[in-house]
Amino acid sequence: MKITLPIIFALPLLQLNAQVQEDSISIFAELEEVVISASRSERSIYEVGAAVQVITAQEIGKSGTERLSDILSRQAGINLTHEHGVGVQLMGLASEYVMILINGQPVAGRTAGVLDLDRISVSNVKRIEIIRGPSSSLYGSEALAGVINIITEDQSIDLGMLEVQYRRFNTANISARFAKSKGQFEWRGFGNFYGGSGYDLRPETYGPTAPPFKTGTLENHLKWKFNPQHELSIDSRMYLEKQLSKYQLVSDEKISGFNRVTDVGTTVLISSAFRNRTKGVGTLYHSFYTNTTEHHLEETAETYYSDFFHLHFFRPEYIAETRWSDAHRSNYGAGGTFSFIKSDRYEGLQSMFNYFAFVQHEWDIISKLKLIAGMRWDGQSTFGQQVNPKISILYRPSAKWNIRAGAGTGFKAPDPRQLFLNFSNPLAGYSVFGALVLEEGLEELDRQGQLAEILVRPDEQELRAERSYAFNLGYTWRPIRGLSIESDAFFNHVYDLIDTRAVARKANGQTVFSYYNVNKIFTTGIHSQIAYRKQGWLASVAYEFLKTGDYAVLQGLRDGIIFRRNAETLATERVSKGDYFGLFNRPRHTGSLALMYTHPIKQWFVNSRVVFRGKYGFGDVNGNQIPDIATEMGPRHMMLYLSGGITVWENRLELSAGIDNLGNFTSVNYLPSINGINPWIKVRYIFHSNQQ
Amino acid sequence: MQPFKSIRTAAIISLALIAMACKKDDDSNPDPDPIILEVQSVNSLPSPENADEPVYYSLETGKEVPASQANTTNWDIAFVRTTILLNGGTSGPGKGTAQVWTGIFEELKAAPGSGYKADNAPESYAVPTGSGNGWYQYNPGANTITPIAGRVIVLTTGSGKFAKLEMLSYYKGAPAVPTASDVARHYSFRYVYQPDGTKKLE
Repeated sequence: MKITLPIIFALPLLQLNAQVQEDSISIFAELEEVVISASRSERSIYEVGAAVQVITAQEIGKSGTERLSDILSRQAGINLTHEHGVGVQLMGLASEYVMILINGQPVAGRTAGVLDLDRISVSNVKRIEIIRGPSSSLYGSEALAGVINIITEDQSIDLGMLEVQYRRFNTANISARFAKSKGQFEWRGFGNFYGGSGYDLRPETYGPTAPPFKTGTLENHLKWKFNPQHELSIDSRMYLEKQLSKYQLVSDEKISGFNRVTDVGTTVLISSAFRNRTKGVGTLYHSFYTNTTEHHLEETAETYYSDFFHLHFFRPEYIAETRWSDAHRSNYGAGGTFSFIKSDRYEGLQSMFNYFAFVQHEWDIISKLKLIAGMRWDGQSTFGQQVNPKISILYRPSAKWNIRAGAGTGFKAPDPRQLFLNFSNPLAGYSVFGALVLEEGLEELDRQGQLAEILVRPDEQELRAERSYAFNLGYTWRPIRGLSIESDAFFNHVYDLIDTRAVARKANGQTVFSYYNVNKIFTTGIHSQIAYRKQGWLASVAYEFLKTGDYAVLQGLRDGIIFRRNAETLATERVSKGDYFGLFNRPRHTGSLALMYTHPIKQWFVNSRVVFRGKYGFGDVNGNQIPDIATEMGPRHMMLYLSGGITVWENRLELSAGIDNLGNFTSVNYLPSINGINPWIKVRYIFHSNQQ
Repeated sequence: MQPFKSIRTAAIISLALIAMACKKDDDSNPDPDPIILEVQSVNSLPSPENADEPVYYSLETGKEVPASQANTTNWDIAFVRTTILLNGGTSGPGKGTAQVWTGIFEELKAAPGSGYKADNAPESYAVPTGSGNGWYQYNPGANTITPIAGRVIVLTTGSGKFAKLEMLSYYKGAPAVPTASDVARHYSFRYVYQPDGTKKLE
């Protein structure tokens, strides 16, 4: 009970607020609900026009989740994919359209469009902000579906924390955090080790289902407030990962190998305040990402597969906020990004430049009505320009209501693979060329006498960015203290989606592929949540209904030209419109139910959560490339999570334990990422270096 | 309201009766063309040991034709790996041509008047080769070949008669969902052969 007041207010997640009365906790909870991602500067969650969801450190800590993927998998309306790492879908839009930020800076390094969420530790997270809806008007390319911004812990009080968690399959998560401030200087450090032995759901086959892995994260933050108006920060983040693999080929040969990922990011920031009206932040961000895979035949040690990918991403940027008057304020900024890529799948060193400027203006027309309008211009070295506007209206007739509506556009620039890939499969014999290297690639094949026939001339179509327009309409209603009810409906129309198309025939009878803007899809749905907090209790229900579809398929169904092969008679039959389940891997219904109790004084807690995911299109079995029969569906399932914890020794030690997937759900064929019942224990120790 | 309701009911009933009566009349009309061509099915026609050698088949007799008769018009269609040969052009001495029609086998009542091509190996074949181009799709994940639903091969036989044919499977036993371990190069298909030389295919 010797804890000082400032610590109490700065460290909600550390459960130090033992002696604080229940009332001040709930006041605190409301103060906490600040988001930064909707305008690139801090706003109360009640004054943004976008659909925002916030996951707090408290929720993360009590759920026993270690990685970003784990905590996101427990939210309604978030669907994870498990190919090329763990990807996230927002509003039914794939991982490549979701921008992942750490403290506002994009995490670089995607494989086939997927940014692996397992790379990101949540042991040092203050909150996670999820914006549903196109945010290209602020963030540019990739923010077509939305933004997930991870805000790391930023309290500056001297303290240390050690945390050790252990769960099934020898999986350990060890974290340490320190903070120290002295005069004008402030330092924070964070280290994390996460590793496990993997698991095997199919012992009869060679090699594990999930291979053993080790990862390490180091974060360092240094701040120098060299005068009252200015401060300089240097943030760095380093991530290392190694994963071993073992598997058997159809030809019975055994393969083993490894995959190694490194990611080193450095941010230098200078924040300034000018005459109380304008605040500005200048940033230099650099990220170096590498991904190396090597697989060899176990018997002969001969290389079976190898590749590497190196990416330098460099972004100077200046963003500012000006408060013109009580009714007007603007956020604006400009900058550029430079990417340099080297890979054995690309010829030489490839580079891309992008320069951008954006402005977002907020106008309180009357006290209850706010207009937020923004626009961003992106110029690209590789494929032209983009202008993305967004407009939202926020109406607050009373403190109990918040009604929001918005419209905006989004885009995603062709990624390096779609531009530069130069790949020929040595076994199957086909070739794939990125749009910018197609012409040279075909010429090269022709010189080697490997080209039989060109089907599409390389200059026939220029590759454009993928684009979308979207609408959202939502409300938050807080009828009584502690209760909040909210819904957000959304509609996304995404066009010019990039896909591969056959462009030429090779002399060996195989095909040459390249990338083209072909598909047009929609995703629409409604996301709702009811949450009730009272005296240490928190109950919440969330549900998302999602409907998706490909316009070409819908047209084909109307025209009666989409068929399937009957599994019994093998005869062709016509697919009716009602049989089409939409895009693959999109459950129509997802939901979660959570009940949590934290003792206001003693801080012990119990936490339970049920997550439901409806059936979804898993894969095509009848030859028409759409999900339309029962055997093409993945199973609907429910996952149950239970956890509890106590704090002892003047709240310095927190012990918690839990069981994930209590119902022991597994589905080896459909969901090998779910490994059955998974108990865990966690010990967290907090110490203060300046404790009196 | 009551009288109105009963009038409406009466009207509905009488309309239904009229409709039934009309239907009866239609049914009693004699079918002017009672000859219905039979759908023939071939299950897992195996190809020779040597994968480069075609297996020849006669739609007219419904029998496999020995390779020794490759230079005659006794065969109509042949299979070598995923390539379909017709007895004409570069493939044989007959009048074999084909085109791929998209739709449901049963709904193709008559062969199209034009659009037929003969084999012109190795540049082109009457039934285009390559995944997604002609009758099959290669699935790289499963490493299997599956016939594309809704592709009907309309062809002329070695002797110039019309037929329609739907490929059903590339694997022995015609499994609904083949795997890479199934035995390949076993052709299952169904066809309708019109012996009278007309384009009628039902």
